[in-house]
Amino acid sequence: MTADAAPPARALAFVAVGGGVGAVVRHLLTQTLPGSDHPLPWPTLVVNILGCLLMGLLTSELTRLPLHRRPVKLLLGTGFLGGFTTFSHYVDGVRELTVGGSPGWATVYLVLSVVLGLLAVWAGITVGKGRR
Amino acid sequence: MMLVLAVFIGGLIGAPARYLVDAFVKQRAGTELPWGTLAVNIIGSAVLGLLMGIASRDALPGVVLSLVGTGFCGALTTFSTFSTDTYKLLTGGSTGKALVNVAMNLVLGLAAVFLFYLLGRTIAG
Repeated sequence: MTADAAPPARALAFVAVGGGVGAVVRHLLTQTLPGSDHPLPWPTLVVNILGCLLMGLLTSELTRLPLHRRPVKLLLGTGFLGGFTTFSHYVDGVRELTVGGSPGWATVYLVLSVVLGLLAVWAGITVGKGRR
Repeated sequence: MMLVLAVFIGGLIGAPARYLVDAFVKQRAGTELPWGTLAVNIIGSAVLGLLMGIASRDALPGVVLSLVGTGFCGALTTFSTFSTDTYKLLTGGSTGKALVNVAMNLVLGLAAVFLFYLLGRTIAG
């Protein structure tokens, strides 16, 4: 918590609303995305990678955001994207694949998520900088 | 609709809980590595593992899974901040720290979800 313009209570409210909406959008998206015969949990993977892409974009935008607009970071970054993406469902997906007898796919999912997540952050930051 | 509301309320609590835990941990452990994100990711993975363990015995109402699992644990933990922090360490020349961050999140997150899944299954069985 470095230079926060918003007072704590207001900051918490921004994060809470963003997080509630982010969780609901994730829920609806994972329910709506077409199912697949493939063992990998695609919906969670898509949500996490999309969230990383948007976080990259937002990070590059934020570097030139005036201080009084920091609530945008709390609402969209810490709140919405934090609530939208999920680490717990990611590792639980690895657990489910392992227990379900697909340790190979569990490893693929484990590594693929990290690699694609980093690439998505890079892509978001690069696109964001290009718009400067 | 009921389940969507449960997810919303869970997220409404989980995200500010992450913000508070992150601030608390940062203040004590420093900012050399993203310890706060590591802490929420381990805690959330443990809670979700416990829930899934109980649910595997059909001993958990769907609304609780939506509220605490999808909503709270989903919003308490974060994949986007984990990736962004790692990316910043990588591009900032701290490759070692980036690798340590990934390894700690994965190893401890997986240990938490597996152990608490077994615990939940045992409790509910």
